[in-house]
Amino acid sequence: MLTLCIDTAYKYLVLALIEDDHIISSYCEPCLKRQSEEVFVRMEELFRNSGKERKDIDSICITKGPGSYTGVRIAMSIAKVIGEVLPCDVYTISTLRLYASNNEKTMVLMDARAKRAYVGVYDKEECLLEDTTMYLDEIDIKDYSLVGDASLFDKEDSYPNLAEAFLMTKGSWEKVENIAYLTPEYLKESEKY
Amino acid sequence: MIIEHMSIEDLKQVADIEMEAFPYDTWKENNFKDELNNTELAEMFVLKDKGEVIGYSGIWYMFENCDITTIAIKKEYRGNGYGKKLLKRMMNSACEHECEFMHLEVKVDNEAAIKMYRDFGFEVVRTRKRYYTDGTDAYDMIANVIPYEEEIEEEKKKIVLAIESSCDETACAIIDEDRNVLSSIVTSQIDVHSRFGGVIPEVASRMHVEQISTIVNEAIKEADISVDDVDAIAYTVGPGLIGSLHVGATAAKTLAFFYNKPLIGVHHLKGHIFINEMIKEIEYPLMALVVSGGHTELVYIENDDSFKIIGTTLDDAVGEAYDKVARVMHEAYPGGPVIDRLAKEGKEHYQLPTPKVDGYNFSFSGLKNAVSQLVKKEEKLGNEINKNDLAYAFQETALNTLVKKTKLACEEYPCKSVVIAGGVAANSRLRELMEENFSDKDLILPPLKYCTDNALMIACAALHYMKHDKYIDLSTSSKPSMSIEED
Repeated sequence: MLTLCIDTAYKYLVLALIEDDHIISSYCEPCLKRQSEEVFVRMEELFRNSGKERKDIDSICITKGPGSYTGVRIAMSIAKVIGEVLPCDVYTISTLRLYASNNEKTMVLMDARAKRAYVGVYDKEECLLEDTTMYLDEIDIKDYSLVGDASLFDKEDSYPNLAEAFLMTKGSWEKVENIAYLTPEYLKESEKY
Repeated sequence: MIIEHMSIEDLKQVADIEMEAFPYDTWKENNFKDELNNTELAEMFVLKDKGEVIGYSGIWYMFENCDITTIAIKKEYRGNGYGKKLLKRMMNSACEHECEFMHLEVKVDNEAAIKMYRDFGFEVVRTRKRYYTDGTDAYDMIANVIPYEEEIEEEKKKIVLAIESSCDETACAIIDEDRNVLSSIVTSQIDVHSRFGGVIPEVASRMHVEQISTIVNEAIKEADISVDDVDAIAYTVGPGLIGSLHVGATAAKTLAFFYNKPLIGVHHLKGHIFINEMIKEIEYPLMALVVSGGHTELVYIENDDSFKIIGTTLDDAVGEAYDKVARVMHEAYPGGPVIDRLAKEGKEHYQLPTPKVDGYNFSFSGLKNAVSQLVKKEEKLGNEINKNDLAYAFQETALNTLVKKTKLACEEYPCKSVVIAGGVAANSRLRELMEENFSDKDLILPPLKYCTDNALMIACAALHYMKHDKYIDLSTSSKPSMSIEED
């Protein structure tokens, strides 16, 4: 089974081609606000390096949010269109869950601006705190190792290898039953903007 | 691929092939012209692919005999059986002329040709020594004339799939190069946006991403094709709301990427102009008055690849002014249809200042403010506003400015046709005024169903991009404030 993994939700552009339990080709580089221009060019490289044909994929796995609205929509649009048209299976994973990888007692933080952060707490495959948006002064970071924008709490930012993280978290990918109804998890209402 | 009678227009291409095929005893354009004029005895054919001559042949009729005077195929097309196509056609023409025998001469060393002639029943009857200028011998070959079945092959028409998502419609359409519509699906978010009194960009983007795959998939299903059958993927690259444009762009690039298809980035307003070709051919030069919620522009279009903005709004677009005036009058969004309807019942009553801007530029913010001040003033005086009359005053002032400037522009820039394009082109009074003022031109009023955004218009414009080989790559950015003068 060949799966194309894409994360365009936040600061990185992450691509991985996973065949069964191996990454056969991957890309993971900082790419803030350039995902739209970069993603297909890097996907061309990804397939070229793997020796696989583009239409050979059996499934696609994407991060469904939270993250930058525009960013989340890029991978989501790719997955929805190719999932319905090719067609192929679509899997999603929370962006925060991906960042947590399978580490122990991990709090993932992403800057949601206006003194808020997207927060999720995971312990290996278990979710201790469902993804949510919180004000920074409501967040209690003790007891956890921080992943993501730790600089919000004056610690060093830390981002795992997200291509590897896709493979590590395979057990947590959620299969999408009805692709037409798949929508991003923005964690913020559009009415507020 | 078609075979037709040679015409004067073909002669230049024919002479080039002749030069390449027969560097010695070369026929010049004049020799071909003589043959064309000799309609009694001679017949000349050309084999064409999309207008390009790739081969030709000639035949002379002499009672029961006929003579192949020439036959040649352009070098890069040889070896594909095109000579056979021409020979079959000549055999059939000879049948019609009731000939019994067909004769030709061929160089003795032209093995490929000799083999083809033998397949048609030709046999060598004698050898002519040093027949050609370069000293080569010729065979005389003769065959019985018999009818052949000519395969009528229909060329596969090019197909374009287009996606539009620049504002509040998500749409996908598939058409062929003759503008036959295979499918055209549009969903509008207007119900949602009218709740907010206008388009909120983040809301629009969210709805586009929800809808996009369903719309694209439905268009493909309805067209009953596979994306493999499509020759190009087109999408609106700009102008529009950036978040909305992104969704359509990503969807189009996804199809182009996975199915390895060329990509076309269409300017939204070119779509509004070229959709009129669904109705009739456009005669150039063309003056376009582009009027919508986002644009008010006079565009001079010399041909399908030359766009020049000669006038634009310095502030609000005319459609935007309609929306704002509707809001001042506590009427629904979008304002265009509402005000158009109210104005029909209105009469001359309120005075509004005519916008004064030099040249072909427009300004509507002053007019909009004048409406809102007038409303405030009347409310202060305790007078009830006559909405019909106010709508009438606003609409007459706004539209007359548009029409007057368009007329002036047409005097300076010679044009055969005039078109109105964009959402405001649906306005009944604007259409009326255009008809009154442009009876001397070929006036193109888009059918109402094409005035709102759709993907058919993007597909129609894409055909012109294809014609001019204007393709873009997968790294192209969406362009929210793209000019129509940009490629």
